[in-house]
Formats: sequence, structure tokens, C-alpha cells
Amino acid sequence: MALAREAYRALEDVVRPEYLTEEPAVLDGYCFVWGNDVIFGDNFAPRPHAVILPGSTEEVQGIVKVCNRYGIEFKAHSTGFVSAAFSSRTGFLSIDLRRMNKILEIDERNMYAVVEPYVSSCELITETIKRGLRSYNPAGPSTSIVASATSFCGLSSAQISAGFGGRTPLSVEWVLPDGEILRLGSLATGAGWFTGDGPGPSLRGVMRGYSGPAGGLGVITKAAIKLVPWYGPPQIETTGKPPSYRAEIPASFRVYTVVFPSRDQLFEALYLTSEEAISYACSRRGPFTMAAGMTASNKEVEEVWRGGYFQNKFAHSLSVVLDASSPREMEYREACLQEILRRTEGEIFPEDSRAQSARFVHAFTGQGGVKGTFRSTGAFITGANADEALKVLQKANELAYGLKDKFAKEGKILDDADSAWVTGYEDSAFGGHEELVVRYDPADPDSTRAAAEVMSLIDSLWLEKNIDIGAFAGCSHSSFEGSIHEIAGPKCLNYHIWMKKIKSAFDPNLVSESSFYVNPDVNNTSSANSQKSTQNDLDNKQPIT
Amino acid sequence: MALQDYKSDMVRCCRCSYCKWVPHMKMTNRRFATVCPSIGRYNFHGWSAGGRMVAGLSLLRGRVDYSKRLLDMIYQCQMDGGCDVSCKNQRDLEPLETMLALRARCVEDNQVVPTHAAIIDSLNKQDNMMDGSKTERGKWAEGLEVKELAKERAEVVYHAGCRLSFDEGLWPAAQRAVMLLRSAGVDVGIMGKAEVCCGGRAYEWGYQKELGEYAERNANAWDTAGVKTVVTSCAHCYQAFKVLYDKIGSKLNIKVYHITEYLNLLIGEGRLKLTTKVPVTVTYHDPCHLARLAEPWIHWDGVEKKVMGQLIVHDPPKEFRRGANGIYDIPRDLLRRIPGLNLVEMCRIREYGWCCGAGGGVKEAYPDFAIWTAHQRMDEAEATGAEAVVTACPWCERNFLDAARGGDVRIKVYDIVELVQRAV
Amino acid sequence: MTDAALGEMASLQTLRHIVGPHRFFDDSQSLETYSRDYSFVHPIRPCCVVKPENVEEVQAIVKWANSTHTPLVPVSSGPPRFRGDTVAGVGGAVIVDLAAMKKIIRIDNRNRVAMIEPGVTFGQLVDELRKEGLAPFLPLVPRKSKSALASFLEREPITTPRHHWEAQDPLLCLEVIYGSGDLFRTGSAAGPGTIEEQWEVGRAQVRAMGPGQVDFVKLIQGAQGTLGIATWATIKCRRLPDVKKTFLVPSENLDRLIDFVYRLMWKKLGSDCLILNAHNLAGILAKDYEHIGVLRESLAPWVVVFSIEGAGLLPQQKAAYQEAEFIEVAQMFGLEPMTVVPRARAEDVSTALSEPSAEPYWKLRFKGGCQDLFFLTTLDRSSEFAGKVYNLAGAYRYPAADIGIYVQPTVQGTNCHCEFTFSYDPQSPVETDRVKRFVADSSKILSHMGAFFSRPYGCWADIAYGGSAETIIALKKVKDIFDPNHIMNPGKICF
Repeated sequence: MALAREAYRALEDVVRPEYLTEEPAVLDGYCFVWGNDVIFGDNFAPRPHAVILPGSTEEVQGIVKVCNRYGIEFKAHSTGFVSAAFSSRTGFLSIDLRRMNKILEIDERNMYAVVEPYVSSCELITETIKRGLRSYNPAGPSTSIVASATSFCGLSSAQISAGFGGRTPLSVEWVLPDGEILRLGSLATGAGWFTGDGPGPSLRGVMRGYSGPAGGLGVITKAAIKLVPWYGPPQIETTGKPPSYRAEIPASFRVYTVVFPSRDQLFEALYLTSEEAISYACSRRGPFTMAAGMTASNKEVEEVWRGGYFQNKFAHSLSVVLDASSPREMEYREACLQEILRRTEGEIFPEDSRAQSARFVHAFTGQGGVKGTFRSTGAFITGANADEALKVLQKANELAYGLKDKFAKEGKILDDADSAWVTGYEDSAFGGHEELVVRYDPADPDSTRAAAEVMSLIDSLWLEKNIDIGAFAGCSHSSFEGSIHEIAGPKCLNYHIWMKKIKSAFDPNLVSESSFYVNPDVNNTSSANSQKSTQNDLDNKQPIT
Repeated sequence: MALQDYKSDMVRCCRCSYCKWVPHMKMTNRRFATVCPSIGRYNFHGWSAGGRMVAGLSLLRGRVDYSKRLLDMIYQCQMDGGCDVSCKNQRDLEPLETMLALRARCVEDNQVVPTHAAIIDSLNKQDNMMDGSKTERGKWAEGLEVKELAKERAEVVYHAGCRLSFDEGLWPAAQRAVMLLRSAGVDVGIMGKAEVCCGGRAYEWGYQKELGEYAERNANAWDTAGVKTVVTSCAHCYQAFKVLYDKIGSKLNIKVYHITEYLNLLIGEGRLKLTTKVPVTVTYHDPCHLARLAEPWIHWDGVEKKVMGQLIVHDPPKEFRRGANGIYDIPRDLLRRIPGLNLVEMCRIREYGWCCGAGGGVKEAYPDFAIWTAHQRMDEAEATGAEAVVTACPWCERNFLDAARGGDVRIKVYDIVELVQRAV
Repeated sequence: MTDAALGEMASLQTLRHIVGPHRFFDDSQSLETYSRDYSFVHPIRPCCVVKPENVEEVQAIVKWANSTHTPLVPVSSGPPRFRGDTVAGVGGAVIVDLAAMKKIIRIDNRNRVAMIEPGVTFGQLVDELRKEGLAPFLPLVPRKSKSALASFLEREPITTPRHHWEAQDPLLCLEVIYGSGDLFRTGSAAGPGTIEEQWEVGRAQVRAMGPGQVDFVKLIQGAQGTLGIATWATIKCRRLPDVKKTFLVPSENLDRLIDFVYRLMWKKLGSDCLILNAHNLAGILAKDYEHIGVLRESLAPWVVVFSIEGAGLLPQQKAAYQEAEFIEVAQMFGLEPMTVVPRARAEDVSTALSEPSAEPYWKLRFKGGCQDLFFLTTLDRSSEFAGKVYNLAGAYRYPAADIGIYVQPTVQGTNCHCEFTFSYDPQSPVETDRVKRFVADSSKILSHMGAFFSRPYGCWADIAYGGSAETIIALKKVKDIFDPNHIMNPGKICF
């Protein structure tokens, strides 16, 4: 659907004409992304009205104001590596933030970086490790650190040491859906970028929760991201040829794959490793992901997988990466790990340099994630996430695997054994994270349907078994058009109604596209919750009006 | 293969944007972290390999019609293959082949870039990509007294290529090459006026028929001349002879060398000695068609199948060309053999090098973009502290020289043979 | 009696009925007690005080307040109070004192989390957690009557920056009655399932984020009771160490300690890590004015207090290697860690940091009254701010030696809480006035220098919000959602 000419001209006035287009051939690049098939039954979502590339906060503001004036829905994205960036049932103005790609500042002493939205995590890590620092690494090295931290998810292969991404934003510059600019925390008073909370209540709470609004609440144009120490060299040396580059494991690191006799023991080891706060990364990635990450092709994966040895050996395994700021510290951490292994009957599995390199780079930048997920079948869907104490994650792991396995045996999704990813959060007193990966072929409609069905079943199971909300609380494929909120909300004190109120308050003209957030026009008429307090049974309360 | 044969690949593109970056494990400086000039210049996603995969799918499904913008999206690309290397680090897809098929489809549908069409028209008449007269071809060799293989025979043919033949400013590169070969006692000749295009650049623009025709003509001409070896200074020609002819089933039954390979060989045999100091600090620019695009062709004729439910494999197993086996070390070894020369490396090198900007029809149809791309590369070269950037392809050299003309660029541009000759 | 007065009486009867007569107070003495605190906010008498015992009563009170448009002021901590946020900002308010809600509902040893009601003090919490081999994360020597929940709601910094991943820490989930009267639970506590059902599957209310795409707990933190009343919270705890060693690193000037502390942050060493000046260190160790005066003369002007703890699987080894690392770092900066300094032992400091303050509250021991001036900045600017405050002291004829300074790296060293304490004799109008003006004027000057008043008590609200209209607009939107009738603590922050 074309924009009104007057609106188009108004947008052209904000950016130069070369940065705005409504050419269909160009627009198709902005409605195509993995996972669309699960939502729409087609790789293409409906086409946006136009695509625009602002180069500054002022231009973003100008665009948003035009949208408010003319009633045009808009959504911004950075690298656009997910359905939430592009997909809605009707078109909108797609704001591509590619031109906003500056690293404005790296404050070495206070350990934070101020970046624009198109800075990828690998770019930031490349520059910060030169200064003895690193950011957390979101879903792959090409993804936007700002988008991940402020607007989407924020999970990371190294979050046990680098923190959950959603907890790393400090001050933020934010163009609200109404076009006003809000600066959070110390930035609001001109004091700098060092904190995003206050004065008073923290508006970071509006910006995102477990996940972010995926473009449904305006545009983040700059963010200060908390960094953590990096104990490795200023640059990682690599050797080898594509696709098997090998990273030289720095002297201050150790990379281990540890196998356990049982799931119980694996979880106990994860728990102890988190408690002891010794690891750079510690996660269960599933044997297929491990095999995919260390091989050069699917052919090689098949060879590794044939015979069943790999999946049996690594059924209960953890990838453990240790780092240390000194040899003395490494000595302690190794001793601690050995003690953990002794208690849990864990055994370090000797791997060659290629495998070790794969584990290391995955922890370092998330590199290898695309291999592990997309190469095998073309696409994957993830969900069935649980974020809580490790005990419930273990239960979730068992439930999910059981349900998924049935579909895998029918051949419609990849039969990749137990593909759950489990990791800790920030030295454990924050629980951990678990999610299930389901690999399917987007060129095969049956496979696509099966993947969607698995995820939907697991989302329902999660609510039924009181595991968690799932669906990444709003930004996964199965939460398109807020569907998860309408189902989970009534079971969780109608949080979705509060979200809708926030949406209405901050986006009065409803121009910030919200297919992966909430739409206040969708009413929940289900009866209110019936949850008990710790002291008494509380009667259902009326939905908030 | 035709565009529709790549449909599964197009559908399976996940939009990870790896095609826009150097392989992440090779990222050492964010200033030089991108690998795709196209999206670097034009910014919209369509100007990337991933974006063109989508465009191909859109075209196949009839979602879009041809337009000037679509053609710009397809042709504002040097077809340098950096995207292909980066993608294949993680995926088993064929982005570059898909883009080639997309261009072929455009030509098939008579949707062409006017500048390209004019040059191809000239090619068909004059056998060169430089809009020059075929009667003038070979003029660069006047005074060299080198064998003319239209009339004589020789073991080795030196193929100058269209750029070197008709770009008078670059004639010294060809002249030096021939003189070096002769001084090493090589029985070398040239086709002179009878030399014709390799067909490689045309192929890259989507004109596939011409490649086959020139493959046949070149093979026949060299066969008649008794040639056993073809040596060329042009990376495009090298890639055409070595890779593309094989791809289309017209593999040459003679040896194919790039001049750097052959000079290295001669030095190794003691037939050429580099004894004079050339005290200069240089950085080497890998020409795409000598580097990642020169990886030998791997024939595969099979089917895709699934195992383990949905794991995509091939029957017979398919080896993917991922850029590992291009010519990277030989030019560097050659430079290191030059006494007194100091070689420093840029950030983006080898299979993940940044393009000079001239390929894919960009130099002809989008000269500003070609120069922009070259400027990026020369900034990177200057950042190494080198006095000069050295390359091994006349298209690269020409584009760098054109970019340096602006006055902002301090770094010198050398053809590698010039430095070798100085060292003799 | 007028109709209005009759109506009010009937209304208060309803309120009395909700909590029961023994927990309803409208006598003069009670009202007077809650009408003021140690801050300089204008004293305003409430109309009554209620002390609910459970969440149902709290909810009923809030609903009553909505129907009668009565302001509510939640209070959790016992006196003495200092910030002015628990003094009514308008007349006719009801103080909701949650001190009677003092259950430690659950201690989950495995997950190191405790679920506590608002009336649970640090004193109570330390003792109960100790039985489980746990300890709370503590702010700097809190007063015994301080509510732990309130402290974390206020984003008070903890003394262990290594464990402070985000400003929100160590607070996890909350149960809250919003100003609208709705009950909500934040984070993973929201559901699915009741709290007991969650425990049954192994959940422990440890995920702070959400539910959904809003971080509800962040909106309540720092709100000074203007959005709702928290009725329980889960908080992260730490293991009681098997081994603990505390060091004091003295220095003549603050600058010399800055890079040293940055290095400790970068190496993620230790547990307690903070900087005190001589007056403050003396204050937490000594028992009265005289002793503080003597002690501070013996102490170095500045001291880093740094603790190493060994807990878990290899406590001795952990403590040993961390000590060796720490000593090495100190030597790198030409500093000498000590366990004993003239007239003070690190062990005593460690003890002080591990517990709430003995009575009287340590900040009141010097002169009987005190005012804090604190804000957030970055560690590298702390010396600049300290210098400025010392400078300004002269203009207000405040004795520089009596200024207590506390510099606390927070969020693992990303920012820094900078706190100045000014003791004064509250019986002296001259001293009181002097301190009042000093704090008010200095706050403005420091704000111009870049001090960020993230916790805008009293006069800091005008400073914090003065230049950020968009923040006020956004906060008011939040206020309208969660407290649509604006009954919660009106007159505080920007409401």
C-alpha cells in the first residue's frame, strides 16, 4: 500500500531522497527473513509501505513525527535478523538504522561503551578487547548490540560472566512513539551515560522487560552498554582456511567439553559452576549443535552423527570455558572445576583444536550459531524458554525433549536428539535459561508446519505445568500479534493489560508497529486470575480497566 | 544452472547479514570489517548478497517486475565474491552462483544495463570489452619483437587481455611481463591483433553465451599455435581460463598460469634472479579473480536429499568452493623474494579481501561506485603505513590509479611485475 | 459537626475496621512521630497511622484510599528516618506502616534467595539467614530498624560491587499493591501458577525481569512509595564465607586510590570494596563523639576497605589466591594493605560491615543529627566532587573534618555512589540551618558539575527533574497507569 504523496514528500524532506524508497524490489528485502514461514506460511510477510534510512537521532525524530502526523505505522530495525523486525499483517514504514553505526565512546575505566543501533556485537567486541573489555555477545556476531539489549532479547552464550543483555543498558537515548526524545538516567540531566536508572523510578522498566518491545515502543537511537573485563589478548589470532578457521585459544583461557553420566549430574555441575563464579561461559548446547559447530559441512555432520556415538557421548555435556586474569587465578579455577567434576562424575572429553576453537569462538562472539542452527536444515524456531531456578529448567528440558522427539521421529523436523540450550545467569543467584531449538526446512511446508506445531504445543505445556510464560515473553514467532500475552496474561496476573496501558500511554496514536508487542485494541475478556498469595487464597481480581 | 535451480537456497537465506561482513573470526578492526562494497555504498538490504537472493525469489514468484531500480540493485555489485566466502563460512548456500544466475536471467529476459549492452555489442564486433578496434589490439607490443602466434608457434602464449591491450597507460605492465619472460628464456609469443577476449567479464554480467564462444575460439587458436601454456597478467582472464571454461565444460587442455605464478616458477628454476634491492614498504591487494574467485571449479551433478529427517545433504556429496584455494601465497612469496622490500598486510586480505571496485560491470556502468570502492581500499592500504599498494591485475591497477587522481590519495600504485622487474 | 467531618469519621471508621482497632492510631503522639524525620522536608501531620498485617489488609486500605481520595504514605523502616519520603507531602494523609508485616516467608538455601515482608529489618534478616549459612547483601552499616525491602527498593548501594550486576540488585521479584488497588507480582513471580505451585515445580522467584516486555520491578524501585506498596520481595543472598579477611588500604589522598580500585573492579576481586574517609571510618567503629574525634585523628584521611571471602567448594584456596592477587595489585599502585592501622583493626571494620549498626545509629553518634548528600557519578570523578565539597564547607563555616565521605563503586564499577554526611546538633538552630543551606546549595552546585541525583529525595527532586521535562512527562504516564487517582505519597519526586 503506497504512502500518501504528501507523507512521502514529508519523509523525503527529513532524509535525502536517496535514503527513502517504495520500490517493490527493494521492499521485498524488508519483509523476508527466517521464521516468516512459520507465521505466514510464506517467507515473505506483507510488504512495508516504504523503507527509510535515517542517519541521526534528529532524522529518526523527524520520521516519527511525520508518521504521527499522517497516521503511518513505523518500525525500526538494526540488522533485521528476526521476524520481529519486519513482520506484520499490514505494512508499515520500515526504518533501517544501518547508517547509525558509530561507536561514540568506549570508557575503559568505567567499563561501558556508547553505541548507535547498527553497531554489531562483533564490531564492538573487536574494539573493546583491545582495551581489556568486552560486551556480552547476543545471538550471533552480526546482530546489533543495541537492539538486543534494549529492544529484543539479550541472551548470550557468555551471559554467566557478561550478564544478561537486557540488564546491560545504562543510559539510553530514545525517540518515543510520539516523536519526543527521552533520555534515561544520568543522560537526562546531562551528567553522562553511566546509569540508566532514575531519577526516581527507572524508565528502563518501560523500555523492556524479560524481552523488549521489538520496535513497538519507538526507536532507541543510542545506548550505553555495560562492559565486563576481558582477560585475553587484544586480538585473537586465527589460522586455517574457510570454513574451518581456528582460533588460537589465548593462554588465559581453557576450553573444555565435559560429559556427565546423567542429566541430573549435568545440572548439578552447571549449578556448582555458576555458584563458584569461575567460568567465562558454561552451557549445555546439545550434541547436534556441538557437532554442527565443529564441522565444515552437513555431510560431515552426518558422518559424525551416524552410528550414534556422538549423540550418546554428548547427550549430557557442558561446554565450559574458563578465563582468568592471572595464572594464579586460573590455577584456582581449574582446581575448582576439578572438584566440581569429582562431585558430579564429570569427565573432560579430549577434543582436537578444531572442536576447541569452535567452542571458544561460540563463547567469545557467538560465532558458529548460524552453523548450528541454519546450516543443517535452513531454519530453526526456538522457544519453550524457561528462565528461573535450575531445578525447573531441568524439568523443562525433560518435558520439551520428550514432546519434540515424537515429531522428530516422524521425520518432519530434524532428529537432533536433545537440542535444548541451557546456561546460567550471572553467577547463578538469578537462575538460568533454557530454550529448545527445533530445526526445520523452510522450503518444505510440512516441515515448517511441524515446527510451528511443536512450539505451540510446548508453549501450552509451559503454561499448563507452571514452567514459564515461554515464547520469549512476546518476541518469538509464536508470540506474533501478542498471542502469547492473551494466553499467558490471565495466568500471570494480567500483566498484558498493564503492558497495553503502557502502550496506550506512550503511543497514543498507535503508530509504533506492535506485532511483537501488544496491541491495546485487542481485548482480553477472559476471567481474571485465580492465583493464591503466600498467606491466603486471593479471589480473582477483575482485569484492570 | 538457471535461477530457479537456486530456489531452495534463496528460500533458506536466513538474513543473517554475514554476507556484509568479513568472516567474523577475521575481524580485527571495525574500520575495515565489512566485505561488501555494494551495501557499503547503497545501504538498502537489496544491495547485498542476501538481498539479491530475495530479489531472485521475488522475480521467480512474479512479486516484482523489472525496473531500473531492480537492475541497479542487481548490477551495482562487483561480483567479487566476498559475500560468498563469508556466507559459506557458516552455510551451505551458493549466493554468488545465485547472483550470476540472476544476471543471466536478466539478459535472457532482455533486461539489460544500457552501458553493458553497448559494450557487449562492441564485444561481438570487435572481440574486446574496451570498445576498441580489434585492429589496434596488440599495439602495446610494438617494438618488442615478440612472436606473433597467428603466424608463428611457441610453447607459451602471453595473453594480455582486453584491459591491458587497450589501456595505453597500463601497457608497461604487459611489456614488462613479456620482457621478463623472454629474459628468462621462455619461448613466448602473443596473439597480437588476433587475440580475443576471454569472455569472463561478459559472463559475469550475465552474458553466458559469449564465454562459450570465446572459450572455443581461444582453445582453437592456441592449439593451432602449438601453445602448451597460457600466461596472463589479468586476473579476470586467469579466472576465465582456469575456472570458468572448466565450469562450462570447456576446460583447456593446456596449462594456465597467472604471471605471478609463472614468475615464481622461473625464479624457483633459477631462470630469473632477483638481486637488486627495491627498498619500499608495500601492501598487497588480492585481486578477486586471482584470489577467492580463482579457486578451481568443482563439478557436481547430483541431487539434494535429506537424512535424519531434515538434514540437507547431497548425493553424491557436494564439495563447496569456499574461497580457500585461490592464489594468495604466490604473489606474496614473489614480493618477499624482492630484496629490500617490506610487505605489510591490510586487515582484509586473501579470501576476505575488499574488492578494488572494478569488477562485475561496475567500472563501466557505475564508475562513481567503482571509484568509491577503490577509495575505501586505498584508505585501508594507507592505514598500514605502506608507501604503495601492489596488485596483480590491470583492472585493479586502473581503478586504483583513477581513484588516486583526485589528489587526496597519497599512496602509490604498482603492478607487481614492475617491482619484480626492478629487482632483476 | 459538619457533614464533611462526619463523612471523614465514618471513612476512618472503615479504615479502623480494616486493620482492627489495635493497629489504628490517631493519637497526637503517634501523629507527631510520623510528621517529621531527620530530613528538612516540611513537617506535616498525617491524619492517622495504620499498621496492616497482611496483603489483604494492604489492598483493602488502598482501595479504601481510592474511594475516599485519601493520600497514603507507605513506611517500612523504623525510626530514625532520614530521607523525607516517609513524611506526608500533603495534609490528610494516612501513614501505612508495614512494620507489622515482618515475616521472612521463605529462605531458599539452594538458590540463595529469601522472600521477605517489608517489616523485616536487616537485624532480623542477618540473624535468620545466618542459621542457613547465608547472609544478605548489605548497604553500609544500615540502622537496625531499617527495612531490608525498603533499602533495596530505594536502590541503596551494597558494599560488594562484585555482586552488583545492575542497579536493581539484589532485589529480584516483588509482590505489590499498586495505587490502583490491584495486586501484582513482578518477574517470574507473576506466574504461571500461584507462588506455592511455582515452588512445587522448582521455581524460586529469582527471575527479576518481566513478566512480558515490561520490567515492573524497575518502575517501583526508586518510586518512594508513589506507585504502590510492596508486600514482599525476593532478594539475592550470599553464602556466609568460611574464610574472610578484610584489609584497610590507607592513603593520604583519594586520587591515589582510584586507579587501584578500578583495577580491583576489573579483576573482579573480593567482596566488600569501598572507600571511606577518616571521619566515616571512625564513625562506624567508635561509639560516641569523643571517640570518633580521637580515632579519626589517627586514621589516614582515606581508606579502602576491601574484603576477601572464601565460600563454596574450595574456600581456603579461593581466599588465598585472591589475597595474593590483591596484594600484588596494591603493590602495583604503591599501596600497602593492612589488617591493623593505628587504633583500628580491619577485623572490626569487617564486623561492622556484616551487621546493622549498633544503637545509636552510627551516623548520629557524632552530634545527634546528620544529613546525607549523595548522588551517582563515576569513580574517577569522586575526588573532584570531594574536593568541591571540602571547598564549599568553608563558605558555610562547616568544619571540613566533620564531613563523612563514602565512595562506593556500584554496578561492578560502572558507576559510583558518592555520599557526604554532615553531622550537626539538631538542638542547635544555627547548626541545623547551616547544614540545611549547605546541603541545598551544594546539591545544586554538584549537580551542575555532573552529579546525578538518581534518588531524588526532598530538594533533590527539583534538581533532578528540573532540566528533564520528558522524564517528568514519561513518569507521569506511568503514575497515571499504576496510581490513577494519585493517592500514593503525593508531593514526592515529580508527582
